[in-house]
Amino acid sequence: MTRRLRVALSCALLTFAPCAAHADVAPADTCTSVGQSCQNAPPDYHTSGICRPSTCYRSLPGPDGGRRPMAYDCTLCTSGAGSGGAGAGGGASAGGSGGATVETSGGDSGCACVVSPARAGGALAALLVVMGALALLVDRRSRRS
Amino acid sequence: MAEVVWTDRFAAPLDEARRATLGTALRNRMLRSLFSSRDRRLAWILGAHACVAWLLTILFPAPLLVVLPLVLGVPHVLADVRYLVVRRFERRFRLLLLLGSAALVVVNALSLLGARFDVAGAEVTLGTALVAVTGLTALRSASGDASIARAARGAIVLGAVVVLGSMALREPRKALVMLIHGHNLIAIVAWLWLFRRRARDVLLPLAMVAIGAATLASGAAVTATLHLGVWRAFGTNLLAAADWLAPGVPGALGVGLASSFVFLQSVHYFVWLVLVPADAGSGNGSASFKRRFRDFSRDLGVPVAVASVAIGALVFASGALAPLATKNAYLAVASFHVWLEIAVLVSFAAGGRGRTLTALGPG
Repeated sequence: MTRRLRVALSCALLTFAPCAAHADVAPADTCTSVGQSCQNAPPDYHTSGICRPSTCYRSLPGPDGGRRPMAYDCTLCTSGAGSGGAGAGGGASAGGSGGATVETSGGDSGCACVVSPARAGGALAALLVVMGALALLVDRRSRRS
Repeated sequence: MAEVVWTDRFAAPLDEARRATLGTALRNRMLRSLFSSRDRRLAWILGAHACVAWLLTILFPAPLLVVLPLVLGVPHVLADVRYLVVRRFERRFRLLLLLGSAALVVVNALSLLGARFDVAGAEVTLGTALVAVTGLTALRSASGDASIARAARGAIVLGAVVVLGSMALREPRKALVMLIHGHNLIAIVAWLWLFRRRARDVLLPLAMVAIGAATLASGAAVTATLHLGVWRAFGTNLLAAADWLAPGVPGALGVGLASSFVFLQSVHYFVWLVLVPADAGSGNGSASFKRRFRDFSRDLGVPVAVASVAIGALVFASGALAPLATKNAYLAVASFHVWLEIAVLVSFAAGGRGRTLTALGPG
């Protein structure tokens, strides 16, 4: 084994080893896209749910040097269909539970139409996939002919 | 030749502006010495980029988090595919990588369309399979060189893929978070390993990148960001980003890791869009737009090149209307390129850098 390879292997193991080392840290119930399905809803953080807007808290240093909890808009994976209920906890936030779930439209435009951003993103994704596939098909044909 | 005329028409005004700018810049002796050497030029612009990106990350983390992928995301994936796959691999490898990438795109597109399944598990399974199969294929194609050292190297690389892959499959969500961070660094590794002739010339700016990332990751700049910077924008904020970029990491450290990600993401884009194209080219000077556009069209073929430009424009336009939703959709669909980069690096590590190379034309 060359020295360079040994170094590369060590780096790779050091990069990925924390996956196992931190397996005892409870996975967060955070998610990225409002309206998208997710698999990390509480209480066990392996339950399927829907990504919904919420409010989370994080303990951060203040201007006076002390620490204070800071509230911010976040998205949490919540199980159950209905109104979303209470987010069972911002696992990533030091301040503990996310508390009240705010049911907002979650859209960027503020229009009255009920279009989930995740759906809009899905439509865009589907369009991108179709465009890519078409381009590849046309390219193959033009190369053959 | 139709594509040449088409691209030349777009390149002409840009090249005129480039000529005028260079003409002015080269009158200055310091700038002339800087621009006459590629190594010096790249070292300086990487250093300058590191400084500017570091400052902007502290002051505008939320806009950068959303806007950079919308503007530079598609072009950087295209550069990634061109310089890593199209120019370097034979047809069989390209097909393998294309199929694996298509499967990953479909999985993420299905999740965006509302299908309920373990997306992280499916992505990690497919991605690991792509990396393993590509590595095996590279090793097999290199078996003609029956040296024990090469076989041992291939076996070790594939062994590492199996070990790391099985660890990732046990905790797919955490593995993806680590990949998101690691992928920014993979670009630098790929640049230094596959494209840079002398890494020594860029050690100083690379050290600046490392120091910038470390200071941000430590959380030391979080207070400044929260009081002076724009940490909320386009329906998201840096603290929410810290929840998914650094799950389980409390306080300022988690936010610092998110800031560090924003900084390294900009370095990642810079590597693929500026440094790799510069080092893939021949000669000391920078290529004209005419040359770049012709190469782009030649590498991808006219239909794919046109579709790529259209996809980039679509993401940009959609991003102007719904920035956050578009950014999330783009990141989901484009996540295939993270696995693609790993697969390519693993195949080179397993089969040898020169083995799978096809004859390269000038960049």
